[in-house]
Amino acid sequence: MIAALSLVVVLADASARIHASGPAEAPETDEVVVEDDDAATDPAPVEPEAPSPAPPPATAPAVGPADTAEVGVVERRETDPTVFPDPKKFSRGFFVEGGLGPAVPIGPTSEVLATGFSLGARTGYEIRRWVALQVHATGMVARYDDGVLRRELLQQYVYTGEARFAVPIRRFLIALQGGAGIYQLSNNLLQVAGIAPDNRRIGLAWDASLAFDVHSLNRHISGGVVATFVGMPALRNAGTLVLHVVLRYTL
Amino acid sequence: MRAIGPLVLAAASLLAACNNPAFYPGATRIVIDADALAAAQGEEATSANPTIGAYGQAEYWLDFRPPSTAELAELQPAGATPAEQIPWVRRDELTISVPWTLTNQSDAPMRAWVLLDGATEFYDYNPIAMYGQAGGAEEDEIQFPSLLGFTPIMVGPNEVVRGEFREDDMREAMYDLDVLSRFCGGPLAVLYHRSEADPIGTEGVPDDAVIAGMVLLRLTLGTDQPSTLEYSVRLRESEDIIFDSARDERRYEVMPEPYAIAGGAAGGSGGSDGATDMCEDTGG
Repeated sequence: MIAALSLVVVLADASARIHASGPAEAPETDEVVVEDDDAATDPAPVEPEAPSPAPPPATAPAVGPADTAEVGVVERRETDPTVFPDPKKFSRGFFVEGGLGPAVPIGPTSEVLATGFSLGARTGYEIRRWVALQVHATGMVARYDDGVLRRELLQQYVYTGEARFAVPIRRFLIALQGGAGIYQLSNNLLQVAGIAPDNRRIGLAWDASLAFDVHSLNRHISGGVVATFVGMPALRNAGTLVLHVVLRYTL
Repeated sequence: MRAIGPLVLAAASLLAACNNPAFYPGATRIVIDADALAAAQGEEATSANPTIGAYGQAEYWLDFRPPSTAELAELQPAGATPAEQIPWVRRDELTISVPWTLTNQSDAPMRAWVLLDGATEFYDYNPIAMYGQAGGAEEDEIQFPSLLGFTPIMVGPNEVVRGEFREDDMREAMYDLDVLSRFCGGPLAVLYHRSEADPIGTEGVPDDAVIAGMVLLRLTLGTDQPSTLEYSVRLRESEDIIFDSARDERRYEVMPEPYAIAGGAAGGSGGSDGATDMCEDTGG
């Protein structure tokens, strides 16, 4: 056992010596050996010789081989790290986008509806990265409380067609999008509250959004946040501010 | 991970649109102020009742789409008694609840009654307003209970109390109303027992009877302090028969007959179970 340990120590010591002397030092070692040999074979005093040209350095030149130094050094083409990932490589065309987040009632509906939860989706065609046509659907659910009816839920659905205009900045994108369509209510609670004029549950709606999008390193996937205001003129011009975290996939 | 469950539930309910009731708008508040309380103290006051004190009432008619002439003739042929007829507005098609909010607007404790009565398309039951027609307290007239809520509520100064006549309460109330009026059940026996638990007083109801639904809700607030009662009417799964202004041109017009409790006197012909003149006339 002790013999084995001793062998390991010896091998480790030898290995440490090998690693301590780098390959760049090898020529110097050779040169010293040659000088020693000369001294051993010719002990007579040696006349000083004329100075000879300095030996070439042991290491390779940093600028390339000497025979190519006059015509220049061939270098690798440099890439600008600030344009990575390259927006030209992003997918463009049909896309689908989904998001979720809070829905905040604004206007008359805020008197009876609490902040709710919403899910939304958009799909369409990105003609250029800065312009797209799309359809949009969002569903919202919120608690209704008018002092007597206190535990009711109201669901609102919005379906619109939209145009999207964007300002792409490398992998980022700021977009304005908006359109018009219809809204649908799940019940007539807003009629009870005096906001809806009758028990009709479908009416005209419009929406406008501000979106901020960041493209991932995957050419298909991006994500961001979208703030959408949905206006419902028939509900005494009430509206809902929908804040979504979105994920987008472009084919 | 715990947040995923509610999130999925909210998303599912959102997508499924499972909460889809209908609500009747326009329910008016019942207000009893100091003037109304003072007026109820008079000898000839019509807004006072010996049991519940000063009171106010609000009638709320539910609107239904009308049957065609042929449908109505088939359900209610000429010459048939109400007990032989089939109602157009049926209890099984109505899932109603009535949430309410009672506010004591005084600095003193209050004893209040929040009562619900009503009418089918055949009969109107209003025991509070009818009291006194048989002579009142001097003739030992019995105060018959309301369909729902015949228990006083103690309310603190400026306190707000919320309650609800639930769907199962309303279902039982519609059954009681139709049994005591159309099938001549004794009001005390019927109203003081939950029919599912104790069917006393319902012996006259045929096995194949179609129970009528309410077409009128009457809320009564009885109190001894200034107060207000707000309420709302909520229906579920009833949209097929509810009047829809976008779909229907006319409403179902009904004229329910007042339910007369001539046997309201304790020693009257109705005895302890409160049978009625109306039922005596019809052999009930």
